[in-house]
Amino acid sequence: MNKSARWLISVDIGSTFTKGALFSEEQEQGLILVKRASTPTTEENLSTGFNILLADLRQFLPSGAINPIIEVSSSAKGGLGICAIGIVPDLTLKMARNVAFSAGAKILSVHSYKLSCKDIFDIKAKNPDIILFTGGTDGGNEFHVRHNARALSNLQLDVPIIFAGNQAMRDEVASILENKELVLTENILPEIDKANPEPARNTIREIFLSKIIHGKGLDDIVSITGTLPRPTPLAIFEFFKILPQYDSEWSDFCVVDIGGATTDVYSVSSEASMACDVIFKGLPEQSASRTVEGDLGLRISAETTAEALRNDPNTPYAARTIYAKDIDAYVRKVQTNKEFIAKEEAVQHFDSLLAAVCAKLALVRHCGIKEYVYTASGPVAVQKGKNLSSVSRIIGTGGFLSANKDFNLESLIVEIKENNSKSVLEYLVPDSSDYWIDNEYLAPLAANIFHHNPEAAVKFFISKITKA
Amino acid sequence: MNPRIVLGVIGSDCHSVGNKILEGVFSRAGFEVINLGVMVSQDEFIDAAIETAAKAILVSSLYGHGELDCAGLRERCVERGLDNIIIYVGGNLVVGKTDFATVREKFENMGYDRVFSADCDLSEVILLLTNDLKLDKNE
Repeated sequence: MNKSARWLISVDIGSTFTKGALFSEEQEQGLILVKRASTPTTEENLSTGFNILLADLRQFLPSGAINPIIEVSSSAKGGLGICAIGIVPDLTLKMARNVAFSAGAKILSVHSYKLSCKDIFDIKAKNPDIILFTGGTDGGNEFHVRHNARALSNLQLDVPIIFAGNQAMRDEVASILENKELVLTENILPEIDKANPEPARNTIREIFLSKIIHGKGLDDIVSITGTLPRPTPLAIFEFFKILPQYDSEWSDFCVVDIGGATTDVYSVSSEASMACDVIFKGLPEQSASRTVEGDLGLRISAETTAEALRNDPNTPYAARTIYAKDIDAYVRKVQTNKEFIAKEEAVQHFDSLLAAVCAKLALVRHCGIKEYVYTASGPVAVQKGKNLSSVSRIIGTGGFLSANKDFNLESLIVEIKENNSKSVLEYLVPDSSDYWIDNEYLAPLAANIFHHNPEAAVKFFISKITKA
Repeated sequence: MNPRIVLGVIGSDCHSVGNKILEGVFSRAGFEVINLGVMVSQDEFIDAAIETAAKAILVSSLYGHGELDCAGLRERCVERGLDNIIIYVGGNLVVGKTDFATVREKFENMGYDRVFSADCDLSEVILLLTNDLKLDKNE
């Protein structure tokens, strides 16, 4: 082996498995995957499993090798959970959700208009890692912000609160919440048509690093690695966001990640592909975005997924009738057994049916909608949300999609488009996409280390995914 | 502090030129205009007014079917917490030739504070709005 510039170890601590990879960075060949390993996640103390994995990977370092850089991501212990507060559901509250998702978090609850005692009670019960408190454009709504600050002052929970709302209310909010851990940042929606997610995203990241790591038992790991961990979905989001910069063939794509508890969809689309001949309504869209569907998954969320499966008109007749009871029994079994891997064909088929519904619904929910409105001057197209119709590539990742090469994602897109043609609403999913599979489930591992050598990381990842 | 007003063309109406003119004229007159553009629903007007704490909603309608689109806006404002917000409506509000006094009465009964025809003098509108907002502040 040539004398490599660096050795990198990438570790992703999932809720079930702690997975890792050892990379060597060569001058000419770029990143080379030397060894992969996996060990069950040790929830009581994450560093136990981490150390086992590290020892396993270290064995493959040649003697005399420079100390490797170790980067860690984690979605263990529920990942990063946020309760979001805003005013109008379609405006600041929706923006708050988007910001939380793009910061790699899971939304535990959303609260609009005035917080009631029940809202405060619910927030306490959810026990979030962070409260994202927004509302009002700058110089705008004060009434709801004041009321909600007062309500939050009664919350008996030791949790950081980020205020990312009406900046004219900063001083008053700071005063009302002076006994709380409050961080003030810029408004996520300073004007009705101006989205400003970055400052709040950065604040979420900083709080994760300074506070949450300790609570999740990751600080032992930090003292070993000397590097700062990140939530897994954030690492993945940041990686996909920069893909276009290093490979122009990947300027418009989306990613579907079906997990046990959630299905995540990421999309990256260049400005040009955001529709120009339609009237656009709603919040301004970001070119890179992530959505998370907490009711669509193959294990913990299997029950809600099965319900969606029953209600989907495209579900095969047999699955809705003859096998319905078998599917229900299967779902009940796997809901509490997140490590279950289907071995028998019949059961694997159930997983495929559930996965199909996860992928289809998650994509539909992520994409925007186009509606033709009949006006006195003829039909006019009105769009709400993101237009992904010109996206030409979809990557499938996550445990299930990486392992199931035969999964026919393209046929699901066809189903959605057929349903589109029968209704006045058009879901703006990709028109015709090539499906690429992340065969070795490398997305989180590549995502962790990309910032050390983005060009090599992108090249490496693209070389490993294959067209279905 | 410039007074904030929400502006838009209501319903399935996509006439946009007049809307742009209004935005320019009101901005220059010292208002902070939140222009929602065309094909704006009642809820969109109200959503924006809530988030921005706007003092007035200015509804335009040019395609003649305004009556249907405009009905219920005041009630909706009341339901959603904007009981006393100032609402103006202007444009080609009805189809065909109708005596404007009748049109005005119809829309005022719907809860609109002031009603304007398509050929109204905008400087007059600005004067009236400025006064209405001053009175509003003094209440």
